[in-house]
Amino acid sequence: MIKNMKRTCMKMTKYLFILFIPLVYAGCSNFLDTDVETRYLEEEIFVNYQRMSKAGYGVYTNLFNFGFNRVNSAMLASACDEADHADVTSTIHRFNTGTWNANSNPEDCWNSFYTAIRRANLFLEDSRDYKNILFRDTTIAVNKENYIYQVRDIEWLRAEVRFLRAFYHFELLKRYGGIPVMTEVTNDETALVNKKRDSFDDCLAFIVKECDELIPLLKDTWVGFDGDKWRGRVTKVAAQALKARTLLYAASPLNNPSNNTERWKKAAQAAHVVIASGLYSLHNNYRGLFNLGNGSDGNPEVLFAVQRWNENSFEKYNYPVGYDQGGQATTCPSQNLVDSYEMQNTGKKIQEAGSGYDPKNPYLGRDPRLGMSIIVNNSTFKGRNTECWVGGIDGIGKYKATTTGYYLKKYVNENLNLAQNQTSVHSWILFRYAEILLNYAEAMNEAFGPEDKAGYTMNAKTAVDAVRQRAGVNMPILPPGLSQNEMRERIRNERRVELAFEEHRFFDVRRWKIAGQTENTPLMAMQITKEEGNKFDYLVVKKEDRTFLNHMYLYPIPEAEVLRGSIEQNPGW
Amino acid sequence: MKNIINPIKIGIACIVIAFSNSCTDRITFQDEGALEIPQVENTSARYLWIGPDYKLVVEAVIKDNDALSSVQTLNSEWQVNKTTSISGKQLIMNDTFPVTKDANNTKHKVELVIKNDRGGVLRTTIEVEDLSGTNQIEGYTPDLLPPVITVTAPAVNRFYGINPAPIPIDVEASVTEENAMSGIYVKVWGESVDGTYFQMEDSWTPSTEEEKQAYTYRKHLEIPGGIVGEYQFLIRATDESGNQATTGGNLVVGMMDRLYLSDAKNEQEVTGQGFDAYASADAWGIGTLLPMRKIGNNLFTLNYYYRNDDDENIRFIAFMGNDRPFNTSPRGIRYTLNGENVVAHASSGKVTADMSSADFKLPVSRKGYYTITVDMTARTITAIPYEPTNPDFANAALFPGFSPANPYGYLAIIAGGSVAGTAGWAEIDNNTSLYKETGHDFLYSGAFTTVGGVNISFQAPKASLSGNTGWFRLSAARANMKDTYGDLISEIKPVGASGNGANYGISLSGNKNYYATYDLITYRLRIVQVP
Repeated sequence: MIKNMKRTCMKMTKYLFILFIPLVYAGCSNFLDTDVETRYLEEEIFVNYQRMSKAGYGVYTNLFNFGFNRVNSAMLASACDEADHADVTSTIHRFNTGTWNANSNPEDCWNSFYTAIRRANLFLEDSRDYKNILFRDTTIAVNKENYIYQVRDIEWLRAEVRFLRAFYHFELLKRYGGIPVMTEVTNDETALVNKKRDSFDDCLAFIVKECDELIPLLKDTWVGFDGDKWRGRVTKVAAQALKARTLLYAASPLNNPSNNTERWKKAAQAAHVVIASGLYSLHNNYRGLFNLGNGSDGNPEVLFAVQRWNENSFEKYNYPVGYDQGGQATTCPSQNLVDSYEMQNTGKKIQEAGSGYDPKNPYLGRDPRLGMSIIVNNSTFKGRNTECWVGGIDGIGKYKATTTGYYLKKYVNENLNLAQNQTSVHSWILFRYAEILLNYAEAMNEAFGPEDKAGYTMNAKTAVDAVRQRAGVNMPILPPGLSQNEMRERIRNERRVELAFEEHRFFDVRRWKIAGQTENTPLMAMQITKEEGNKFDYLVVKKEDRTFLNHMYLYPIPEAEVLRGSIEQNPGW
Repeated sequence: MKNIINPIKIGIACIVIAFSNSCTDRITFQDEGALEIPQVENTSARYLWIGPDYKLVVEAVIKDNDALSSVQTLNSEWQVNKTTSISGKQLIMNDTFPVTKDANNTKHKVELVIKNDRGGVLRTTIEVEDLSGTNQIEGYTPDLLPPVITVTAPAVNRFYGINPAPIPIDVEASVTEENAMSGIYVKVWGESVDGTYFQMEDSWTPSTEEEKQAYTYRKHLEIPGGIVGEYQFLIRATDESGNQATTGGNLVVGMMDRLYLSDAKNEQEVTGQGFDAYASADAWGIGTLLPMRKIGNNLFTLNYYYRNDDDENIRFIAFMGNDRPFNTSPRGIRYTLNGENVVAHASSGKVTADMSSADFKLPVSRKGYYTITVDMTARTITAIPYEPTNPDFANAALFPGFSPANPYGYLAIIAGGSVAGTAGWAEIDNNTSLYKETGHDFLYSGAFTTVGGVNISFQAPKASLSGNTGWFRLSAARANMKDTYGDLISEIKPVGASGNGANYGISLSGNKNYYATYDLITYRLRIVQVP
């Protein structure tokens, strides 16, 4: 990486600088709809508002590395117990077979995030004198207004870029552990090669400090501002949410082996800031929440989302294979996940005595989020009942059909006609209020127990209950009197269900240090046989055994990086 | 060509020779006989329900001609992994493993890895026979099903609770049980924002055989009103076998989702307030109700011009959940000035739900522009004055010929003749207009009468115009104008040329008399019907 950075730097100084605004933003909200001149010398960039601001927006482009089928055509969900990826050739399977290493990590993000961090540092350094760079003429009213507008905008943009830099550092930190914190553009090759990893706590301190400093500098909302053309940019609450998530990771067993409760208290306090603001709430339509398109930031639950473009590839990847307009299975939800959805009437796990679960009608009376996130057999989708049984038109065994008996529904727009190549805007939610509530619940439970408010407005239980009681979900509240251990299990299951397929579970089982159990458990599937009278026989079968070894809690640092000499490899790799 | 082919021929010849040479050394594989591996017979694996427990029983007869070394039993879904060192030529295996109950019918296999001391390995898989449907202990028929609770009340779990009167709550649940119910326990608990704890517990036991199998529990109680609070209720039914069913929910008092400022002088100005009646795109925003921006938990703010008239009637209307002040289709108004969701200023910066003690004013004594903040938890109101400025005034296309020191005398109503006293799409002599109010620097007011369906815009006085400038019209397409709560509204703003903005004015129902006031600082257009 260091060498790459050096090379990149030299290219920048000697050759052409490429602005990273390009096609990826083409379908986004208005603030990215601009004419783009794509090639400038570096010294030609920070000369006026238009070019300088585009260099800032370029730091956003790495957000497109989040979500959907981004890991060799697979979702990250298929690298944990949430799902199986139907395409056996995808590298995602290396996670599950335990055959990944420092040379072949299917989700190696080291280079891409450091490229983005360098891009951020370049912008922050070269735009430092923005008040003098911007065209200033205060004698003519219109020019004065423009100057004021542009100064204000670059101030916001500088804060946003700092947020993104902190966010990318966090994404590295949660994968690799302590990493080199990069806050400046360094052209000294020796210094770069000698750069060592900072400790986890130093990285943590950097991210938290950045968030604290940024929060007052960021805008409350971009909705309703300047004709809505800037919607999608970072806001105050994104930094608050990043701080809360970072502190939660820092308090978790992987990074807090001595279980220092002060860490949990800090995590709770940070999450409570968002809750206490009173500005955010849960959307009243769980299914619809993930199909808000570019309107996602106008929703009280979405705190920060990647606003993408008109597309239908996700539908092509996930519509059940039997639809004649197109579709195939990629992310096939696991039986393991399906089993974690409780019964709606009793609030009990299906395994519990008296839950009301009927194995002959396994999807009846379940947590409504099951049917909103996963297409199950014989459920209505696009105007017909799905046929996930063996021999059914969507069933196991058919070419490109589900491998588990289920198809993915979350984030899938049911209303597209693929034969007509209809598309819709897809947004990937990076932070949402339900996660904040669950972050808070987890931290409160660990710091103070299940039902102690400790001076805040909610305790752990009421925060979980709020998620469960979302309009349209209406799961029973948790019973009072749970022990801390019992509440921990309930919170973990609530996260598993509420945040399924949102790239949380993969990291949650690692930070909880339970991947040794969850990721060594075989992935199970549902084999369905159709019987007389439109009845079905449901039999759970093993899809595959999976392998997770103790050193896999952290990613390996790319070997090319380690061989440079100063970056120490994570243990076991 | 010759020069090229020759080296190739030579190369091929070398390879052939080298290959031939390598084949001259013959490798001989000696037949040492197959490695002996253990044998296994009479295998079975059964999944059994024995009393309250579930067990996996694996049986097999394992043999080896020489000597056995080890046997490993594997099943990953039950996480069975047991290796046993053995010796001798035969083992009669009969192992039992405690396992969890399958929630679903599940196909299991057990793998045996058997080794002998010569290194021979036998792997064999045994399909597990599921016999867990019947308990192995005769007569063991436990009641595993808890009672079934169906809650029918409370059907509403959010309460305005503005009045200090306690809030009545009915708890009603029907409980059924296949065998025998032993009791129902109900708890309501929580605390108000001042830390006052509230708890109510109740329990019930059946007194007849019928009640043991079906009972409708009813309880009337009151939770504290007049103060913000969060409560939970729990209903737990237990049967004689100890199975429990638990359900419950949240009860929230006084946490408002939306707050509006109403300056309607009376109920007639509520029902007669203006709304943009274009086709099916009905939108509010030009009447007597102003949405306040939520800036915190129960905290709302608004920039507002306060006239400080004697007949001020400022009230704050709160809404929760999906409640809204208006229906858009069909058009309708869903609030009054004296509802359970209304507060007004009383004195000393407090708001009250007791209308008899309210003065309906802001806590200030002078007219002007104020940032109003209402805290519905503390029930306080503040009004901080601010200097009225508008950067648009400097834009000659938006405000041709205007300056605060030299304001317009009027804003002409341009409505194509559909307002009495107007004609065509330009100002005429004695055009019906909104006139600058004396004593209110940025307010323009006037009465007008509509004639048929109308499309109303305003324009700066024609003497100030420089070409196609000075229009005040809808600032965006109707579908794109929303208030702070995401509800459709109509906003009239300066757009410069007539083709800018949405190129439309507002629509009002025909043949009615209206009175309108337009504010050049906040761009609020306030229209009410008048007799």
